[in-house]
Amino acid sequence: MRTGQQDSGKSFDPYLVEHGYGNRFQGFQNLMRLRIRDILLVSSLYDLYLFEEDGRLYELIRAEYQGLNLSHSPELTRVSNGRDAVALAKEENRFDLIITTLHIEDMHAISFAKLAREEGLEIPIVLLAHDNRELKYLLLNRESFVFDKIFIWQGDFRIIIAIIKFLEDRLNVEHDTHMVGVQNIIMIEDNVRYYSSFLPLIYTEILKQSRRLISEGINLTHKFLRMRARPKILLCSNYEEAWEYYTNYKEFMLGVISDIDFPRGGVQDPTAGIEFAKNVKADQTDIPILLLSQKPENGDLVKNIAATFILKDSSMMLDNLRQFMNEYFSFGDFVFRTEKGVEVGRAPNLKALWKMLRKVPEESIKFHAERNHFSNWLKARTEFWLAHQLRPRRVDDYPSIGHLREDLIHSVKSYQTLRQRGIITDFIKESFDAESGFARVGGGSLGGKARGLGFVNTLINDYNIHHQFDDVFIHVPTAIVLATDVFDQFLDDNNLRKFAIDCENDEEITNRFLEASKFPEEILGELAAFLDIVKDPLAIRSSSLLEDSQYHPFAGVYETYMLPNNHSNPLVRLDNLLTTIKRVYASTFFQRAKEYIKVTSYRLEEEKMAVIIQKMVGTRHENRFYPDFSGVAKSYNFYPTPPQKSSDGIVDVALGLGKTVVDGGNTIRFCPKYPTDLIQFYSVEESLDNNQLEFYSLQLDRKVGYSDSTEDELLVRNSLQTAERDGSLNYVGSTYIPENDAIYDGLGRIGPRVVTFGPVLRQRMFPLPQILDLLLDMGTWGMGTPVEIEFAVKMSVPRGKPREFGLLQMRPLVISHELEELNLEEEDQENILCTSDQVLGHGRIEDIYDVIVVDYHKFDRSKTVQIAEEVSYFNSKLIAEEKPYLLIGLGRWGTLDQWLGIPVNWEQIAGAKAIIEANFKDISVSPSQGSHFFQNITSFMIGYFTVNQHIGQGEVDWEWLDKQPKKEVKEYTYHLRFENPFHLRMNGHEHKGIIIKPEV
Amino acid sequence: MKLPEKQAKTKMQNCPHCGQPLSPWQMVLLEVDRAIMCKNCWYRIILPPFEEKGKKQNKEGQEENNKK
Repeated sequence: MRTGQQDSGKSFDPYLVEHGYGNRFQGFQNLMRLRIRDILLVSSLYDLYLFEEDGRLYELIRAEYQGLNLSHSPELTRVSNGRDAVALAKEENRFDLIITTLHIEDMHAISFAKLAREEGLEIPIVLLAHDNRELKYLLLNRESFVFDKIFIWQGDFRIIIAIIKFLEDRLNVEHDTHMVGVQNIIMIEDNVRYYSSFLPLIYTEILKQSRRLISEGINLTHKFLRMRARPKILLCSNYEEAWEYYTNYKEFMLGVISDIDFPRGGVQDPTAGIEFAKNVKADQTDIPILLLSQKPENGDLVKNIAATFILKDSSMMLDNLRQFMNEYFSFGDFVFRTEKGVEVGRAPNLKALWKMLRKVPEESIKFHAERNHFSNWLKARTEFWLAHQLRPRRVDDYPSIGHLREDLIHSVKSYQTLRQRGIITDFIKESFDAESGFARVGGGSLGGKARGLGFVNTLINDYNIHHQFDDVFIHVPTAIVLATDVFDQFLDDNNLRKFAIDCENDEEITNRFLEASKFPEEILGELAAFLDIVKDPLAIRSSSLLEDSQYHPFAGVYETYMLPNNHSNPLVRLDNLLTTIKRVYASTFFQRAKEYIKVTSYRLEEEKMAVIIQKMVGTRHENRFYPDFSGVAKSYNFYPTPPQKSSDGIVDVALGLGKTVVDGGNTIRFCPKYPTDLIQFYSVEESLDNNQLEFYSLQLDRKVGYSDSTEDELLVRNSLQTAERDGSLNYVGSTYIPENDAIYDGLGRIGPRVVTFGPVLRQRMFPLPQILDLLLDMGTWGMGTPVEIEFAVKMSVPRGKPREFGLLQMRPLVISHELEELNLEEEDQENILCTSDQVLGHGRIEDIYDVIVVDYHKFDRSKTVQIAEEVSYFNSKLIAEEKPYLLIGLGRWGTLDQWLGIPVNWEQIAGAKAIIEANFKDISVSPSQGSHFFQNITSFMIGYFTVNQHIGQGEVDWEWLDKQPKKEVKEYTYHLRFENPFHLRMNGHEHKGIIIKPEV
Repeated sequence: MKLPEKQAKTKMQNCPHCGQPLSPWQMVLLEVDRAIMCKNCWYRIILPPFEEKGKKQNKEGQEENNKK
């Protein structure tokens, strides 16, 4: 911030600079592209011995690199003569730098350098010499300019690191400066001895400063990438070289360290440094300048130009140099001072700066703002975006210093929030964004679900999706993720692993996990800190390691729990959270999970669990909490109805929590590209029959219990009357008018309520189809495959606040793209067991010999729970025998509502290779594409035939099945086994299929 | 599908080469990445870099023929 100074007008790609990451994950990663990785050292053995001290030079350098947290220490190759060096460099073509000493076997170092150039080697060649008479004569020799630079060995191997950094800075300055505004320090010194001694010290200070910043990095990647944005040193030996650097990079100048006596215009000028400093100060008054000289009288000249002076040969010179850098280059703490130089405060980091800005006197704020101290300090800490934001603003722009103070505080705070957006940070309470933060706790993997969430969070932030739609805020709700190391430690500390793997009783597993007393202390602290920030209801979700697999989504296998998180005592809230986390951990070993894993190629011992603790989207109504509506959207529709195409996608939505959708309950289904084409409402009768009559909410006044139940006991079902009273039905409800036998959108009329989503889809109360269309496209683009997303929407917001669209999950879909066209040949009707034109899957299945049948004649809608158990019995038996089977049933498989079909869980039918879902009398079946059950069908590529015989959509030869000899019979089901296999043919493009009876 | 109001105001909505409407996501990509390939005609649409202060953005954009 300045008074009376113009901003240069130069701007950067704002997204790139924003937090150093940019939109394509480049940002700081693009800095320091050109590196010295391979060095050819040409020296005598004795010179090498001198360099090495007591150890190998290579190891010393490597240790120094590690100590400074630098990556990629260079490789060092030594040869002892010039000819070998040139031959090796030409042959291997891998060296980035040649360092030569004066003593090489076969030729003078100058001759070697000339030979290298004649042979076409363009590698930088640096001479590292001893400070002796030979060097003095060499420096007088014009031919010494054949070296890119000459340095003096003064007993410290760090000169080699300085040489490397000097060259890297020269190579990268143009790119890095213009990329994000990396800062530079011009150093002017023509005396080899002095710059050989200063340069290592200056680099060490800079790298130490960078290392200090590491602790403030928001995650490990950020920490190390910031090292790349450290200030660069531009070492010059004469006035012209220095002025050219200054002209090119003056906007990115941290400061100048200069000798006073150096060449200008080709001749030695005893006041060149003074002139340089004057010219710089005339151009920019606030650039810190340090001038050094052997002559004390030069100190008086320096006073007139507001620069600092150090006597070169003083015993404290290096210390003074260090102090200058810390103070004037904004390394170290930001020291708040008054105009008179009195210290009034100090801030070691951004967070502290924000706090101090509230406290220090106005005088101090004005003092620093007028001199651009804030932006300089920020630049030195690689906080370029914020520095660039602040710099153009002038003190005069504000009506008062109080306004300036507020603006500074707001800018720093916003920046801290902004830079965390879209990346998974390490959880730090002080800087965590309670609105959109996404952080990890503990080490290890984040698991598949969390990784998918993290990815979509990044996309939303990088592509500015948050506010794409007016009055809607699209985001991934705030979450932290307990990574898998916490799970491992919990199991090991409590000796639970073997027990959990061996135990076959879910309640017992739950009990033992709840009773386990040890939990990593530091994690408890972080959980408590999180709960201090987030006091809203929470969803505690599994995120297992094996959920990473695109082909096995483990959908619905592990538990999700909801938590009111509303107790007045924070210790109780922490205890409730811990209890719930343990429940999720326990679910890793439930029978459902074990059955599921059996039919994959994984082993249970390989599975690890991370846990997502996420703020729920929704509104409180009395003692209920729920979103106004939720849903699951797929970018690929397995059963498109023309004119829809498969690639147009499909969405299932329901009032309240998404459990209705994922458990296969009654939902509204629509295509985002055709939102008003609601096929399921083709008749009023159909609409009323399939109406969502209840919705799920989280009960806020129930206690989190220690029961061994594996279900989430805090979720309750509510009637539509409750939703109407709460106001949430306004957004999704319609009214049936019996007199007209018609359904009208809205609740203005008196009549039975029907959940149609008419206000949203037809009246366009909320841009749901457009949002989903955009996000599905974004997800498909980002993941390179069709995707499925879970979401929740909050419409009930205070005036002036945007409505909220929360993206809860995104995962890839499995779509098989077999190229083989499959023609369903004409078959003799006698040989056909089943035909369908609503088939999921593609190809042939020729190895099914067993059939499990729900007896059509004995089927009783009130007994579907028992039927599910019988099916489960047969399933377990056939899995144990390793025999895949055809499952034939009535009503919807995997339904939540036992009156609509057979309420099996996935693991109860996991051994089926093909499934027929047939209507029962006049009750049609339609596949619930949003449910976990459906996800598993597609991921395991189960052939799925839907038959509605009563309306001519396919058929099943029930009579034939009934006549076959039965291997085993239960009350409502039976098992058939054949000598020869069934032949299944499925055409996935046309969604048609046929099942041919086994040959007799 | 009707564009959200925000997009309708400011973005390039059609491929300048074949006129194919851009999807909402393609418009977002173009706005941020400044370049996309039209999936209809394989034309590479390139927009100029972000405007510098005091300079107006070239709304025509630059075009590069990269037809397949």
